[in-house]
Amino acid sequence: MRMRTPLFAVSVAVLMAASSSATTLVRMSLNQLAEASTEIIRGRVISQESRWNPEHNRIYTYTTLILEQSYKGNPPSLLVVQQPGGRIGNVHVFVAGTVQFHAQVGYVLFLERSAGDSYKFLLVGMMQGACRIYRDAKTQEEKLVLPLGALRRGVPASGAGSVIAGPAVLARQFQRDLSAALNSPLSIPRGTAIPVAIKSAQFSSVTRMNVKGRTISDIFPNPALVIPAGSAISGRAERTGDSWKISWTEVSIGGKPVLLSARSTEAVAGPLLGRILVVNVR
Amino acid sequence: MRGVSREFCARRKVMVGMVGGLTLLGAILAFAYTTFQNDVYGVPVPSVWPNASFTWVLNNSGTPPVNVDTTDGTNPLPIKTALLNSSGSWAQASLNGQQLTILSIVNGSDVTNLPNPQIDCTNVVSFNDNNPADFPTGTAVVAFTTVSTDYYGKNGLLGQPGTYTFTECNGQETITTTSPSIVFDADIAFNPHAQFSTSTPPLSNAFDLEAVAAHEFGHALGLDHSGIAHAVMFPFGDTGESQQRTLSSDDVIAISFLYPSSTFASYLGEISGQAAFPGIGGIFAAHVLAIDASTGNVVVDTLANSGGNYKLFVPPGSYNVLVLPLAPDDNHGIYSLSDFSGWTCGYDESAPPCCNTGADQCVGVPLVYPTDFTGKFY
Repeated sequence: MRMRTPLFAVSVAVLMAASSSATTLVRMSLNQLAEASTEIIRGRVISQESRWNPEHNRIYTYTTLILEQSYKGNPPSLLVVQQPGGRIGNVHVFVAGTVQFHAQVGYVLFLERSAGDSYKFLLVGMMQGACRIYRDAKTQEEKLVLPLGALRRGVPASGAGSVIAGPAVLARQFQRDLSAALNSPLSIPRGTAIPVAIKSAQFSSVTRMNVKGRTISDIFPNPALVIPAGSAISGRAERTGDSWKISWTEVSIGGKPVLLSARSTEAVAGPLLGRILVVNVR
Repeated sequence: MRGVSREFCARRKVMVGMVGGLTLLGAILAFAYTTFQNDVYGVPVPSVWPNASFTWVLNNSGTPPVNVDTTDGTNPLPIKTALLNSSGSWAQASLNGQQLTILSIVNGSDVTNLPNPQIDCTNVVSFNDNNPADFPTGTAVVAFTTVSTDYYGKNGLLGQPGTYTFTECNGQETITTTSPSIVFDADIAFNPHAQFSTSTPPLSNAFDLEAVAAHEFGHALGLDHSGIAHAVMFPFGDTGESQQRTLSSDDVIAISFLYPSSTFASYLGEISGQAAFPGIGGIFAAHVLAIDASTGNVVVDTLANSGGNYKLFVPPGSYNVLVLPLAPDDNHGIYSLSDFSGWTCGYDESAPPCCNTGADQCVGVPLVYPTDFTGKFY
């Protein structure tokens, strides 16, 4: 089977840090989890139910939590987390990497609103997006169980303070690190190549256009950053001879505008709308 | 192995015990490796494909998936060929030249209209899953497999001794088999937003299709994740990395445990014991590894059951047994098998081999880059 479009040739140039690793999952840092989440909450499980979908060909498990604290976004007071798989009768559908929630147990969750149903939430990074809260029997302090044993807090990946030691961490320490991650400025490293599909191109003058697009691949430029596929990117195009010189100025990551300095060049012939190209960050 | 204390484990980063003698394979394990198990009248039983036979098909929409590069790099393969290599590696699983499984894997005719996983008794590999809930953007899911199982343990029904009958997919299939817990549907979906390569070596910024597919086929056949970093069933690899195309001994033994050939019982021995905290009891879901005493290579792993008991099948040789209690403190009941939280203790470059949580911190000597696929623990 051969590739018939230039998309891959474009996309393969996307910079992915060596630490972005996966067979099933890309291993995400705390910063990446925080960026990719539309909501980050602390909640307590009050019920769980597995149901067939309307077509009766898939099983999903819905876990309802009562909101105790919100760290990001505008979550409702009751949240429903949807995961694939579950058990109904004696049909038991397994999906490795999902989380088995426990009744009345508290969790810190990294969530994304479901595209199909905004009232339901999905876990960011599957098991990576759920940290169980428990109280240490000896110290009576609250701790979080980190899904992967440790979380990187950002660049640089080595050195003191860059990794939250695992597998458990004090809840108050985690909150401090989460707060630091949420408040850390985002910057896109030089050399990052972002594949983009142009979604609109409107003339502002005879030789200039405002250009908007969407990224088309998940990009993990370094352990502190993720640019989800579908992120809005904008810039201005200026005609020079037979080409459009496009200066890309901003990309929206998880709703957070991030300034960008990048250029790309496209032929004048034909519309810009619909084109797929690579934006190289300078 | 009994009475492994946290202190002992923390001080001695690898050597937890020496088990040199091997015993022959005994009764069927109630719990071994990490498999998809069902509660069959109170006994956890791994789910297997009936008659050790698995057939998969490719959902071929007619348009090649744009996120799979089959042209660039060295000797790029067509998608189907790469998938056949991946699935075939499981059927040909062998250890030291010994074929230990009778598993049969067949590739059926392509389908055109089954892009999304669904329970329909057709085992589909798809690159164009369009269900937005399956691959949320930016959330790091490269591929996943849904594994549908059925089991006895309902309504007091019992099969004939050694024979069980299942009716699946609205009566579409009737299965008679010898296992009381079966897999009857498994679908693999690759993230259409992730980039894959079929060349050797894979393109540096793309996931190796064969390696990812080998991992997902492992799930489809009934295997959950492994805690051994160089195993195909370890949940993390690297872009540009093809090492996980090749089954490790852990993978071979695990798949052979599910679908054993006649050679399996005679060739492999058994290490068994209990991992326990003194005065507390067995360590539920402790990660137990057998390490070749002469090479330092990890050979196979498992998780202890609720009593802390474990069994490992190994080829002839001498082994050290490493026990990693995954629970972060004495409250070992906070874990379930589905959590695996903290299982990178001992693997993560920042995490020591064991955690002394009595002092609220991990102690010990961190392993240096243990996930670099060396598989060595000393």
